[in-house]
Amino acid sequence: MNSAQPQTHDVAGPASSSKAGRVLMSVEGLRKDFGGQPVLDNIELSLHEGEIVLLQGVNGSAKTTLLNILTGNLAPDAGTIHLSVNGNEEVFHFPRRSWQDMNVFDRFTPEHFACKGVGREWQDIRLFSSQNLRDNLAVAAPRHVGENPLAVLFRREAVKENEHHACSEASVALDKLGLHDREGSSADKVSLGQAKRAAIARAVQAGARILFLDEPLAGLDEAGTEQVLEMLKDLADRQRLTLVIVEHVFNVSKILEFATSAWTLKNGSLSVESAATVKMQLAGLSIGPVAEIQKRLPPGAVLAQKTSLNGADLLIFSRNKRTDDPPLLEVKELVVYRGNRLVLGSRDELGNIHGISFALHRGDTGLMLAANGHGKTTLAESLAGLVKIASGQIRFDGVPIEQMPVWERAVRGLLFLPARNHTFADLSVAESLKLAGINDCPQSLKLLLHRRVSQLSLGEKQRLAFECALRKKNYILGVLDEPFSALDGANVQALFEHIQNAKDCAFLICLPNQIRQEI
Amino acid sequence: MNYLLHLLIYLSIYSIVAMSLNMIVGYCGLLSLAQAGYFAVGSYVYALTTLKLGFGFLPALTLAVGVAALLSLALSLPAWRFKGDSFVMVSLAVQTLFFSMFFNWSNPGAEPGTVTNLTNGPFGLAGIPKPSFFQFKADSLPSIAILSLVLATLCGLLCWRLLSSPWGRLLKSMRDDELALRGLGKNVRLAKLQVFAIACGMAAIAGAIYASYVGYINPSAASLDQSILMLCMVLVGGVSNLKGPLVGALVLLTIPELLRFAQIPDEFAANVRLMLYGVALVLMMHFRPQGIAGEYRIQ
Repeated sequence: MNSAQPQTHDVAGPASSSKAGRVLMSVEGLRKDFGGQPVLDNIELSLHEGEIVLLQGVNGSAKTTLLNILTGNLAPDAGTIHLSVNGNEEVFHFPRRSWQDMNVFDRFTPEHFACKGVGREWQDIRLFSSQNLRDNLAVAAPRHVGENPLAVLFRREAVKENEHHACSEASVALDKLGLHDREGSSADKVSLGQAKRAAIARAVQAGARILFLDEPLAGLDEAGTEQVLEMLKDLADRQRLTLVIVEHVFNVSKILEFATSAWTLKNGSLSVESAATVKMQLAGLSIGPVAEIQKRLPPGAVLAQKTSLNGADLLIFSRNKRTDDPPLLEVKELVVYRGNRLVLGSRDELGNIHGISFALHRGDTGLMLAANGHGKTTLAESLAGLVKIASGQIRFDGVPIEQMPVWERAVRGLLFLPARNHTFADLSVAESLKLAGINDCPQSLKLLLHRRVSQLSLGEKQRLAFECALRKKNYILGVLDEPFSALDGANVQALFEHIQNAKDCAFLICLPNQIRQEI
Repeated sequence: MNYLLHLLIYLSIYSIVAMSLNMIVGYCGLLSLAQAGYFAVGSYVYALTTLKLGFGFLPALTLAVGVAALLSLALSLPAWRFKGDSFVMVSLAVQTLFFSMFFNWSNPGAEPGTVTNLTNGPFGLAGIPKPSFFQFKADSLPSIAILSLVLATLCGLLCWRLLSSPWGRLLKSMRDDELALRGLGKNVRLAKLQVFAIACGMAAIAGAIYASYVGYINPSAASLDQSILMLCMVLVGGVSNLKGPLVGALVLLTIPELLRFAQIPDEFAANVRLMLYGVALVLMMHFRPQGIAGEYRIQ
């Protein structure tokens, strides 16, 4: 059989179920190449009912590629996938015949996999932004009569009943998540943690029995992390959902607390271990950014200042002795609005607005730790000149820059590394490096030189972004917005090396406050 | 009075077209330049069936809608795969195909409406009968105005019913993130087939009213200018709700009529109208990218 058309036959009933639950999905001899390079080679795996799997691997190890294949989003080059979530087994053989791509009845599609109970939560969330949270969940209701225009016109009662049912289920699901009061809120107006929980609930609402989650904790603050972890544990314990969770280095330990096994992707191969084994391997490793920074700062560097900015923590580690030299960056009474919402600054009982103030000297590394939606990105973008400030002063290297255009701030040495949209999707890695004026390509990017940026994993993109930004050293102040996002241990280390080597520079690093416990 | 009735008929016709195009642009997020092609399909099918086959208004209208819905596959099948600029190019190709067909399916020696001279090329088809069904005969301006207004209202109700239903929500979700919707098990291909069939069928209704009102149809009804005008109505008025396209149709039909009072020589009037469309669009994109009454900003 040389096609992706499924063969259907009954699988063994509950009598044959193992203690871990029956096999819902298994894969044999899976292979995927990109540009002639194998990224997955002869992968064998099986996924049991109720299993909670941590999927880990370094950046570019094809974690997301494997997820894409297992959810019907990407066809592998070879191998077999057995899917038997609802009792009937479907088998997909690869490679497919050339005409299969044109086949409108092809069943190796994300919608078919979703109908069979395979759900997916995306790294970038992907809620339907123009709709409220309730509609985001209600649209996921399977077999909704109201999605047929003829039924809308001629079977109004059935549609009404179905819609009532879908909306009530959505409301109940949101209620369970503590989002009852936000069900009318537009999906693009809720916090990151709320959006992630709503996205997971949406996949469950669609009938998922196996749920693949791509970095569900990435970018979340302390409260958001707790809420998402709580939800995942609940899905696993009460609803017996099978979870496969991809996480990056800082959050691996949190997933291992309740995972049953761990899949590790390395050089295209997949190894399966128990969660306890991986936990033991990770024990003793320092994985928090604050600890990493403290560990990597030169001897003598101390926590010089700890201040509170509107409830956010600003920790300033200083390598140099404080002198009377003017600060490199001085922010005084900065007030910024997003639309009508006061984002940076606070209002007292009398209605007076107070801006935020802080200063960074050369050799300082400032960590701004704040909850999601607190205004970290707004602060970074205000400093870079991408957001208009309402009032206040920003002096950079002794010069007021509030009115200065973005490009001039960059020319003067103010570097801004955004959290996302920091690479050019249509350029190759080589072209991106060339554009940034970098001639000595870092070792980790050498293998990727001819790949288009759009083909890189998020971790690889992040690596490229910080290499392009930091390697040339034509800056004196680096403003880095969530720079560790999606990075593996080696790349985190590479980023710290840049920070460590730039001795005469200052850095302001904006991070979610989930690492507050390290302070 | 006749002048106002004439305006009312045109407003009804273009409101139907704008509402139909809003389904594609506002609810699917796909910019189509082929809507005039389907408008002309409706006109020609109506003209040919009434002139040559002796059909009455309702059977001819039904056939026009059916043919346009069937031909909508020319857009909906590529829409499975193409998005953004690529889909605009596909729609332009379909538009050109329709225009070329209407323009070139002619044979000067043969009788218009026959297989060899189906559309009579650039000379078009004349003498299209006025609508007549049951006891109603729309042979006067007020009666055609009433008929067109009734049909526009029915189309509006159809749009309202469909787009405020779970099907409308499905379309909006598809516009926001097609891949995420597929990941929820939704058949987006079927949804695209449905929305294009309905939208193109509605454009054909407008085309049939137009042909029956004017009594004459030629390939200029399927020209790119017409498609751009229709798209402008949707973009200027705003998308993703019902009032946006209605406002757009009203505004863009009113501008040239107002220009008549500005005493601009006829030789410049057409160009001035185009310039005004251009200026209106530029201003709109700058100050109100979601259109006058729109809810959604086209990316």
